Amino acid sequence: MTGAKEHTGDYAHLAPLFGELAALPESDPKRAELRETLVTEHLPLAQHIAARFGNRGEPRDDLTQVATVGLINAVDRFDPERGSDFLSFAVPTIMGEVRRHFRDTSWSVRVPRRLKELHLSVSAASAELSQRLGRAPKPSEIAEHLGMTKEQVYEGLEASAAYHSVSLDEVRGGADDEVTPLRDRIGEEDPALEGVEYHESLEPLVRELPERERHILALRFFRNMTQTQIAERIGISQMHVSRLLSRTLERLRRRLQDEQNP
Amino acid sequence: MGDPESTLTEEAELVDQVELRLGAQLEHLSVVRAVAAHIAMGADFDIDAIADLKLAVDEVCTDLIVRAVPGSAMDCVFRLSPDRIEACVRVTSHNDDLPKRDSFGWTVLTTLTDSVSTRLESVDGHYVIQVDIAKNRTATT
Amino acid sequence: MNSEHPNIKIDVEPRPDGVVLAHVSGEVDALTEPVLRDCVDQQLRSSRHFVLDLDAVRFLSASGLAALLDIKRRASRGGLRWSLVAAGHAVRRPLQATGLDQQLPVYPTVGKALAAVSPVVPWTVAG
Repeated sequence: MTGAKEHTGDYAHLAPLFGELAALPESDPKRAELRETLVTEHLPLAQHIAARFGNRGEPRDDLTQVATVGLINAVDRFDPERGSDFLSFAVPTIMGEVRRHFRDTSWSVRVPRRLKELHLSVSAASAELSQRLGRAPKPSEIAEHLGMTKEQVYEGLEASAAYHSVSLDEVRGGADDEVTPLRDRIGEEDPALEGVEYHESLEPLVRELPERERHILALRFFRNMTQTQIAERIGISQMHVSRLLSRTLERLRRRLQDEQNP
Repeated sequence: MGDPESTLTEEAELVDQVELRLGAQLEHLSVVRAVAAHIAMGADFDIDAIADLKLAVDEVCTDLIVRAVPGSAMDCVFRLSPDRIEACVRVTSHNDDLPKRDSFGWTVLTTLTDSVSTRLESVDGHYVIQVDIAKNRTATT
Repeated sequence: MNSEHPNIKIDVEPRPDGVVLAHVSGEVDALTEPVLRDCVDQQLRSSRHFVLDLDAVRFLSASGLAALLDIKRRASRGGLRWSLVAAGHAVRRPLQATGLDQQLPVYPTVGKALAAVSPVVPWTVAG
């Protein structure tokens, strides 16, 4: 988060515009214009945040688009009356959007890791071989390329790209047309989460964690359960969850830093 | 059941043949698809041809199930030759409507396969509708 | 109203920007395709722009393709923006083989599909 703060000065001149925007009646055509100005002028902020998430396997322009969606939400929902400045509101909103994107496009924890990897490698091999051969590959060619059996290739071909986040389950089950926004159901944000955005690059590190820590992490990140909910689920106190969680996150953060600055 | 002309062939011809008989119900589509895909994978068709055959077989069965006498059976025969897989699907129907050639489903079918033909027989006051498709080893589209 | 079928699953996620992101998984055939239509009907009734994420779809039938064409017609009649995500072979192949990938708003990733329907904003500036 600190990375974005240094840009505060660049945006200071925009602050009065939020007041103007809030003062305009809903129907005023000037609103759209002001809103667009605010979004456009803050775009470097979105790009900056997107860049922080770069090199994690997601195409950069996708991330920028996602971050921009977050920025738009921030512009729309920011209430200057509340006294906080726009950046301290916008940065977590944008990061939330990007984090949500990673979660949306990350594998469900319910998919067996072996199948997921099989599906991914078969897909990747198919794409590569298609390009090289100029035609669709045969299962035998994929098998040879990957050094696996044809049976494994079949399995990988048939496996679902079960792609979405477990937490989405929680969205369902409301009245037919009234679906509660996911975000409203997520519950309090964990201060310990700040600075650690879950992503595949973390996976090797996560895999090294003890079973229970890994479980807690999954419940917190994927299921968006609160510490209290996790405590009930696992049968330990909320304080204990909190301690385990912050210790785990601290450990991951340190490992990540080690990797980035060897 | 009461199928006038059995699709069962002489044993000698069964070597490269798979026959399936199931209720003419949409619930069974996934079974037929899985069999079709498995045969094509086993024959090492390329992955486009596998997907095409699976879709074509699904469409033929869907179309015929809708026409079939409720509670009757659907027969599917897959024949494997070195260069192609043939699928023949037949059901018994109360009327003689053949799948419509100007329908979307038919267009998809002709796009994805190398040959499609239909056959209609009148037997004891009802009809047997059969659709034959063939998919060559290499996808043509 | 809420049609359910074990072979298909649709997770509907309303987003703060008003766009509905529907993650479809499983098989879209003649049996399950009504579930997809129902889901889209709800979006059309409430005039919400929507994205159909077909990335976890294992099988897309001719009935499914027909449903997508129908969705296109009705969305344009209702003046709604929509798009679909197709990355895996199971979905991409039928779309390509039938040429429908040229007629439908197909995108390779959720991000791009969302960007295509998100209200407002000059994406050109973002790029």
